[in-house]
Amino acid sequence: MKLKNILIPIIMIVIVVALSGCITDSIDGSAYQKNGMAFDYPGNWEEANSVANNSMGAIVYSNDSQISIVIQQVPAEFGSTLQQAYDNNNKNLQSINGYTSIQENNTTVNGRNVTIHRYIDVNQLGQQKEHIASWMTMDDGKNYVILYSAPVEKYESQKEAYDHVVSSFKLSESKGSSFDNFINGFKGLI
Amino acid sequence: MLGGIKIAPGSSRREIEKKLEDLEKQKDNGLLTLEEYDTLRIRFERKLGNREAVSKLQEKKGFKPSAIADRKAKREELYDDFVDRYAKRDNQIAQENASNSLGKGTKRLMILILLLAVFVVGIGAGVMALHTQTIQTQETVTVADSAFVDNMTIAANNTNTTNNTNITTTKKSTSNKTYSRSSSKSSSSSSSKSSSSSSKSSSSSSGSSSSSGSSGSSSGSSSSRTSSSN
Repeated sequence: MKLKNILIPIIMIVIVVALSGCITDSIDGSAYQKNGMAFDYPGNWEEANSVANNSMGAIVYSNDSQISIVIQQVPAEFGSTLQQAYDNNNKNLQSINGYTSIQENNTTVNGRNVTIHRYIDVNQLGQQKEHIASWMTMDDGKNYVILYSAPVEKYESQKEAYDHVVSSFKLSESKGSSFDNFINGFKGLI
Repeated sequence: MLGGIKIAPGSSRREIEKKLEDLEKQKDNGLLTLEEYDTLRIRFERKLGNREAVSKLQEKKGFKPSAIADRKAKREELYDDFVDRYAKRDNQIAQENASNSLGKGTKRLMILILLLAVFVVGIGAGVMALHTQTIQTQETVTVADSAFVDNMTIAANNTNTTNNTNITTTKKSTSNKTYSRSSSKSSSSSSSKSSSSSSKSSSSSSGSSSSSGSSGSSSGSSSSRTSSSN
């Protein structure tokens, strides 16, 4: 009787922990929360450093670092409004060699107006890369761009990750304290 | 023998009472001595079961006081002692049980809390370790892609015009979707120029399945890419 009373809670705890492990395996995702922004990304992607202008965060596909997603804040010199900044940037894009615009589109993501621009350019290594940039104005009144880049032939393979990031992108107040990291990691596990 | 009154073993209570009356009469008439009377009366009273009367008569006769009352008193005393002792023991057992059950409950609770604390600490440590590992991993990869093109980038890009021209040539002649830039490849694949347009359209069709809803314009993109490479 006594042994039963002790064993039952232990078994319950073991079951709960084991089940949480199963859930972790099945969900397989991660959360990014740094520099006042947050988004979710697939588990087979990882955080990366970015050397781009006004870069706020970046992730890369774990199996191919040429496939990346970068979140940038639009510099003030590009213009005060989203459209102005977008137009100015497009002018600059047109002046670089190898640039090909594929599509420009306006849509709504989570009730927010988003301007999407899909194009191809050639980087300094001569590699053709296909990009899709989502321009949006966030609640802080600043303009942000989420840029997905991949070699042309690999563009479609990881595009779902980009959709995942755009749909979950939001601003957050925290600047990534250790407690937030802990909670973040815990959320990632569950 | 004793005044002619006989007590048969099977006498009934009524007969004994009658004999007692006769005995009284005989005493009153002086037929019996007091000693005989007392002796016989004790017998009759005993037969009738009047123990108290018997003990009184015996005391009167100079016998030791009846042990019945003493025994009764002793018995009651013993019983009281017995009851008291068991009552005390029951109380003690109840107290012990109560204290034991409280102790057991507390112990179980402590064990449970300890286990939970250990699990929480373990999970926390694991999460922290995973997070640290992720941070360490991410530091090794640097991304250079940017959505913005500033003047510096344009200038740098324009300095590579020659290279880009080569790339354009390569694109024209290469039938692969990779559009790889290699002078050796361009010379070897010059015969496949005619197939370049079909390959490009295939790459653009891959773009057509984009979730951003670009199916309509993807074919146009392929042509624009072709024209730019031309």
